[in-house]
Amino acid sequence: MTMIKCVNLTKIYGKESVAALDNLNIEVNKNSVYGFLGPNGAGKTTTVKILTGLMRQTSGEFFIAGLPNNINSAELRKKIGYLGQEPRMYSGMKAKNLLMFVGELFGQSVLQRGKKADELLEMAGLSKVSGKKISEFSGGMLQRLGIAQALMGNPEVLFLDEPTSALDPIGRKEVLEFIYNLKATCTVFMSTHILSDVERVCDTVAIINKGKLVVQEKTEVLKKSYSDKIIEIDFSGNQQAEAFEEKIRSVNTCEILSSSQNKLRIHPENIEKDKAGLLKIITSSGFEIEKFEVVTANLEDVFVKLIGGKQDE
Amino acid sequence: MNKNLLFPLLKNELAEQLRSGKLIVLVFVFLFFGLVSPVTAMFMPDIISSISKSQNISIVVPEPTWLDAVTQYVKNLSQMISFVLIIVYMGIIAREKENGILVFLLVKPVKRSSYIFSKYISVTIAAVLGMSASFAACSFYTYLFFDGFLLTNFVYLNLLIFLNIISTLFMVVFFSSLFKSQILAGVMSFVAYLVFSIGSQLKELSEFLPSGLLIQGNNAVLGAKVSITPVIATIVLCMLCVVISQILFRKWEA
Repeated sequence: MTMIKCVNLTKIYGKESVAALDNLNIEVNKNSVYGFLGPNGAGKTTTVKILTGLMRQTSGEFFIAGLPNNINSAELRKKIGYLGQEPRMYSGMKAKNLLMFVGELFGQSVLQRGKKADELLEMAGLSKVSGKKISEFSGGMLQRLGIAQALMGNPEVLFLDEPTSALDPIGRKEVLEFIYNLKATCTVFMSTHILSDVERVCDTVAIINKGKLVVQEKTEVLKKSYSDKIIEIDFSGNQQAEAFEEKIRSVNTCEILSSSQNKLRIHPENIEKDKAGLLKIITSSGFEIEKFEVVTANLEDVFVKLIGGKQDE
Repeated sequence: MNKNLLFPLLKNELAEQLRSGKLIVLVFVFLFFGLVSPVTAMFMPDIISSISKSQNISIVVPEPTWLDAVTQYVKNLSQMISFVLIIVYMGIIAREKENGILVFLLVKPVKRSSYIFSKYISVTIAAVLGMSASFAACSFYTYLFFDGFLLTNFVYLNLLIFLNIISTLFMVVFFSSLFKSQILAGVMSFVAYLVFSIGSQLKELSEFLPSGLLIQGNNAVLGAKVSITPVIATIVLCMLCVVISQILFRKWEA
């Protein structure tokens, strides 16, 4: 069942000629975690704002859980939960009071919201701090409380805009685990530019760039269909890596996906041929390497391949 | 309007005003001005005479009456309080736009009209509380210090001042709903307040401005005839603030 459907969704800000969102067509299935991926400024937040009724589209339409779009539709918002890039809540409130207030906004009885609040605080690992003021919470706790408040109304669709971007590695891990467990009860639409997060929790991925949909596919299918094998080379030094990069760019047979410090990730056109070719360059030119490995491509490689070239256009 | 959600929003808004101390500060400011007006009127002649004695100057100050206390009260509540109200409430909506609380609320099944109404009602409640404190303090001490205090006329005066204060508050909420910056909302509210104050100097115009209520307030105190025109004009202005902010706020985008 399709929970989110966008048909030719377009947004043009003010008198700008370039569309922030350009005829976006996506479909999100029920009980899935949908990764909405793109570089900064690609149109991710604009999409989320439109889908949550915080912004009007210039043209096109969308449906959430079968309901058509309307910026003033309270009915639509009964079906959704939302957490923005940075969780913004009443900092002077206590965690449980905040959830109780949100429950009240969803028309729940005192008993219902009390039970739901306790359940979500437990799920978010915040039971012990339910009586603590939100202003005293750490980043990870805030994010988990943010998700908990977004779930208070039993949403059919949960929108998360860059839910892990402000977190440290431990906080990120906690939040991602939390998100992954949510798909049993609702559909999660997660916008992010952190590829490893998508790879970890998302069933389906859409990549957008400059407001246009580049691809929408199951995460595994995407990884397989766009790039299956990558050559990863670790050099003994940064200069060695740079010199090698320069050399193979001149040969121009394979694509460099990423280079960081002394490590190069290369997408070969023909794995066997290019592997042999690269090894030949290394031995003949006397490059010192620490590792030469053929690995399976990750989502970052796919992303770079799909977006990388288009960024500079 | 969703009545069921208006109540939780209003309750939360008042709780927030309490948590932030705004409501308490406001009631104390009202109380202070209510208290200080009769006290100043009562003891000012003594203060002036003690100063003049130390300077070897002879100043004859007439015996203060309850009218002096009430005049001081009107000045305090029409000028000083207006500035306090603008400063305290200029961010009532604009600040929530700035800090993301508005987005937090608007993605819930909250109707935008309920949100705006809750703000207008909350400032009305704050004004009722403040005016009650001010009225109680001023009437008690004026009655205590002076003879001939006419409580009924004072009640009429307070109703007119209350309406004047409501008009200032509604303008603040209106500008706060219009702008994203609370500073801009405050500046615009202050400009509107100045325009109305200056306009009230023109007799023909003052009839149609909230500041004209104060002139009618003086008439009420003296038992003279009170014109209803500024009352109607102020109510119309307040309604316009509510209606226009409702219309514009429906179009607001995050």
